Amino acid sequence: MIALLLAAWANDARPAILIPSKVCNPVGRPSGPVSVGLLPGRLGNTVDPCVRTEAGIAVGGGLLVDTPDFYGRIQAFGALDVRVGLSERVELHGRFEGFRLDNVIAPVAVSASGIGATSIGMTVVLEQSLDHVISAHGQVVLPTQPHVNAAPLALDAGMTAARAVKNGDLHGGVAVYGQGMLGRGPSAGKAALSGRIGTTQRITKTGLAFVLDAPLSVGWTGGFDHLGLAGAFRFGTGRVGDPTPDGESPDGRGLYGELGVMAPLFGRERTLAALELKIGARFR
Amino acid sequence: MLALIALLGCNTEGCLGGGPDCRVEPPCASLTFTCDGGVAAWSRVEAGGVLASNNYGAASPGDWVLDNGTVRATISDLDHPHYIAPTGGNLVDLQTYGADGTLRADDALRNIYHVGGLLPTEAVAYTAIEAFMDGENAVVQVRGTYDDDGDVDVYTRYELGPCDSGVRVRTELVNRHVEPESVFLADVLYIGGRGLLAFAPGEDLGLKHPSFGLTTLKAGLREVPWVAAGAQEGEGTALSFTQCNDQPVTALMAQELSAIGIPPTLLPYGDFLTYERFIGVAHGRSVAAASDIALDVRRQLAGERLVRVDLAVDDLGLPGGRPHGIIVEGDVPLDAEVTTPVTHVELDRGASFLIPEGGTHTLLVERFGLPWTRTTFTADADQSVSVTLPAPGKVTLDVTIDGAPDHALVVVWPSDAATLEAVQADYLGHFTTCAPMLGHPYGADPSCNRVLVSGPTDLALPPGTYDFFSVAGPFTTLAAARGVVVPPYDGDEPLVVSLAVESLPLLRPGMLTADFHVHGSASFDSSIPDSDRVRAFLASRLDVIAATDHDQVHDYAEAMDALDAHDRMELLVGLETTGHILQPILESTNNPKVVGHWIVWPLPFDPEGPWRGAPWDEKALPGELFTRFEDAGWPADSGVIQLNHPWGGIQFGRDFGWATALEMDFTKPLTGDDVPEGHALFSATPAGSRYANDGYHVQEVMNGTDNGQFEQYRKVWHYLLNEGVARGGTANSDSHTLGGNILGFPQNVVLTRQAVGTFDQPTFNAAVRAGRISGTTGPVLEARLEAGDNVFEVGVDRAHAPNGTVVVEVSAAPWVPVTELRVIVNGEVARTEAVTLQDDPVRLGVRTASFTFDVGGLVPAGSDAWLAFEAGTPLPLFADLSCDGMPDTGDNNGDGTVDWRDVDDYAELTSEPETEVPGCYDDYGPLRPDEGIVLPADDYRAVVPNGYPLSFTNPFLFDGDGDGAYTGVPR
Repeated sequence: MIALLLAAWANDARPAILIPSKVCNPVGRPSGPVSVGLLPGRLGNTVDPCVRTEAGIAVGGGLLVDTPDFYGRIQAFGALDVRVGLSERVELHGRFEGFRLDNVIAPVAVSASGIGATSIGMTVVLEQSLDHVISAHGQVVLPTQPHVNAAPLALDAGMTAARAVKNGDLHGGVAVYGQGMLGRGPSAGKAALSGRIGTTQRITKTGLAFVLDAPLSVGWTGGFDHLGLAGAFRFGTGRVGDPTPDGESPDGRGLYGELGVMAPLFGRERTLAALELKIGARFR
Repeated sequence: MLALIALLGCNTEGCLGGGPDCRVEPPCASLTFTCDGGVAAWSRVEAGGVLASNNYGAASPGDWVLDNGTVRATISDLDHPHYIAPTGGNLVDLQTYGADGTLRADDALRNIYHVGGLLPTEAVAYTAIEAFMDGENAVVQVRGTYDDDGDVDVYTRYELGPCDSGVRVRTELVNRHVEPESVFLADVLYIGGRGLLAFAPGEDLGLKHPSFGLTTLKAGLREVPWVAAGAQEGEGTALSFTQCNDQPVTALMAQELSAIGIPPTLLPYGDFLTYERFIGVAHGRSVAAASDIALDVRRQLAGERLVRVDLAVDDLGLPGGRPHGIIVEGDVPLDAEVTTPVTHVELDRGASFLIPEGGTHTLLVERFGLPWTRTTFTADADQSVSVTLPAPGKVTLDVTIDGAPDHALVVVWPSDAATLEAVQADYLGHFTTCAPMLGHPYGADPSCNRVLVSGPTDLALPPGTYDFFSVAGPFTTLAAARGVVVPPYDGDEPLVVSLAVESLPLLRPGMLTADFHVHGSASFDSSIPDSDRVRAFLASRLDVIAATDHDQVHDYAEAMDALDAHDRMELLVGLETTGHILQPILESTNNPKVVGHWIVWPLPFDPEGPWRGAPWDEKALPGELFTRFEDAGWPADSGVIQLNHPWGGIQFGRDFGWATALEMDFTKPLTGDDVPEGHALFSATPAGSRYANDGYHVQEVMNGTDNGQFEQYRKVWHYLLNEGVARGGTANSDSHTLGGNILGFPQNVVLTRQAVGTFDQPTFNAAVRAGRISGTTGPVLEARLEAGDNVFEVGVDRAHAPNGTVVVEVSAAPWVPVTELRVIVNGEVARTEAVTLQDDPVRLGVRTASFTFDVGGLVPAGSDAWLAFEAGTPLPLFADLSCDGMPDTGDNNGDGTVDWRDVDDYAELTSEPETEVPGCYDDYGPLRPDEGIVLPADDYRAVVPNGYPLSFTNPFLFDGDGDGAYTGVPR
């Protein structure tokens, strides 16, 4: 994390200019992978490779039904998302779950609720042109979520990229993520590898877009976790248009929103689906 | 990242980090006990070293012992699982020492095992065990996981200090499932239904248990400061459960089992729980003996203030009626419906107990299950309280059999509705209702409304007007004394009730009577002492009884010898295997099941074996069980395996009947293409077994004195006979106590050419396996096939040519009504003959009737067939409203027909419910209404409560297609 920060500052020791980009166009058109994840704090997710400054709220949840094992689970959360572009190439981001509910449906049903996960991370753009962007990212998920005697501390780091195509982009990424327990219990450490490829298709001259991703994870459940599908419907306000050849771009302020769902189709993951709705304001 | 993660687990508590040499944290460090010269030690039980115990004792060589001269705790070795526990590593015996240092045989514990929830896979299976000394304390430590689930680690430490009056226990549990688990970390006190009874202080609690169902378990959970359990019967131990901090325990209490632990918790991956508790052990059957320990723990850890109450009881020299007292908060009337109990004491003698300081308290005394008297006191200081118990009634029972005093059973009934209403009671809201409640319904004599006598016997009972009845089985006269007015005893000579019973020559030489399904206190659901059980054997006049306790072998040797019972009867030593651990059986359903109940005899009794000679009988299909029986010494060539109560009944998700567990469909064939999965499994041979699942010899057709499911058990038997599975039918009481099913009602009459004095078990068993049996609740039904010069008895071991004459004789004692004879052909009632019994000119006192039938006129020609008979009174109306081939509903509204109006679930409907198939309903039943306690309508029902006279023969099988064998009836 510290290394990333230092690299970012070193890389950006020049006056900040708006990098023209069809992918990361600062105009308020949505971009990047579907942000719905299966783990608190979006641990292990592929993040948007673009640098943005925005703030919003998100609500979501997940459903698991395993009748043969007499087990079910319903999760719900509400969060505050913040992304701050420190420069054209460096972004600090965080998700602060103000509320998380976890309900296990079993012969003796139980639930836990309270403040959820708190994640803090950084994205550093390594390379960006009009048509593509490659970034590195990392985050830490702090042990603020409901627990009994031991709380998890988690980290992830990875690479994410996007390339413009007609009316949209192709995007993807890989990440490693891991977790250990704080407390007088066992470390219970584990790590996994995640990946994702997908595409965004924008409806021209509108701020609307559809996203379809294929997420993958291996190792979190001790084997092949999941290969699934994720989809989202997005909208954004603000001026719409590509940057001019000399780099002028509209300022991109506006509102954004996304309704996304993710469903593991193959693998050991038992969650049926996760859902997330987020809205916010984009400043840059 | 990985390095950081690795650093996180460097400072773990106890065994939470795992590791082969870890030590669970010492439990209950803040708890101290003092004594003079106590020394704690651990040891292993050695061969020949099983110490004095009782029928609850389970200690076996290899088990682990913690002992300090005050308490002795036995922990089962890993390969000695008991009842519902998947492995050993659990507390199985808890005993105390007397003041003279003698170990008491006062164990009252079946077992305590550990769970993280209430699914079978959430029981803890221990895989490693060790013992060591930790300073002055002796420790046994076990480690394991959830059963069949290695993703939840569990470690438990049992510890005994030099002066401890119980066992300190700490359990550590780590969840390694990816998803969070619902964890209810608890001790499960396995009771079985008729032993220890759990008590918790609190409003509307005490010995009242909140109701719950398998899908509403949380409704039964309560947070209480402690839980205690009293032995109820005999001089057993009482146990208490208290957390080793100031927190309450979370308890789920029921008669079969009680779970006591910490609140259900959502436990994420990598998170852990710990549970420290003190299990107090006290001699004495009162809850108060153990609640004293629980309160002492609460005083040490939570600062509760206590006072001691010394209670003196004056019963006016008139014992009986199981007086007991509940101490409740406040000044409360005797008939209060909702109270706040603080403890419970038995009052057959004085008592001394602790209660929380402060406030007025009331002692509510029950006797004969009835509110009897009360007294109040204030708990502001240690004090003495006295209570005088108002006098009960008293009679002296004088019963003779054939003119001489002998073992007999007397049944007591209220004479009128007023007495019935006044004396009808249950025991603390549990068990069965009796009128009168002479004693604990499942305990020692007297029990419920029955009493064993041998010579003049004094009996205490609530004042009222009573009828007294006695028979010595169904083949004697019935003696009665009616309308006996019993006032409160005033010290004069007690009333004498004389009953003279005479034997009747109803049985012929070579007939032996037998009951193949009998339990005593070696069974988890019985608490009748061995001596009373054997006295009941003798009172029943049965020639042969199979001792078939649940899951372990017991031979009643000591009681049999003391009562010279071997001279009068033969005891077959076997067992009833009773599935506890649910397992996947059918792929077509998510619900795990057990394989029903099976009886096997003989098995050699091993007084030191973990199951006293039986094999472990869990997690096995029937064929595997039969293989284990044989490996344990059951003789395959001469032993018997019986399928018990094959249909219906379920308890805690465990089917009583194998056919129910298989979800058999009696409208479909047993074999062939496209049969239900359960049908195929019925005859399959499990992998590694030497027996098929249908490798049994006989099946119960009658079970229980009320014979309440006869139509269903008969249906299974008839269906299997039609399908070519020819097994003999039997009739058994399934008696567990004096207060429930009565020994010998029903029973088997076995044609064996033997007598008790010349008994040869293999010869007898051969007759049983061949089905040379008629089952009866009273009538004697004999049938013989006369074909030319040959005469054949009933049986399933041979097929006859379909010709000849069947001669049927019916006889009965005068008090046993018999009005019809039913001729059964291939499972259908082909003919019904009216029966008028006439006095037998030779056998005085016997009434008899005889019939002759031509075989050719009954059985269809050209195909295999079978023929059997039933005699008694007409069966109640019944029908199959669910259209699955199984009788399920009776004429519950008494309108003379069986239809949807008789279904309990349709009671609120005013019109017929819509169905996919006309006349076939989703809901049905009951087969018989629950009558509760009603005054007997006749002498028969006075001695056979809720029963009815019925006898059936085993079949004659006919080879109608001439292929040399009976192979079943064509569909």
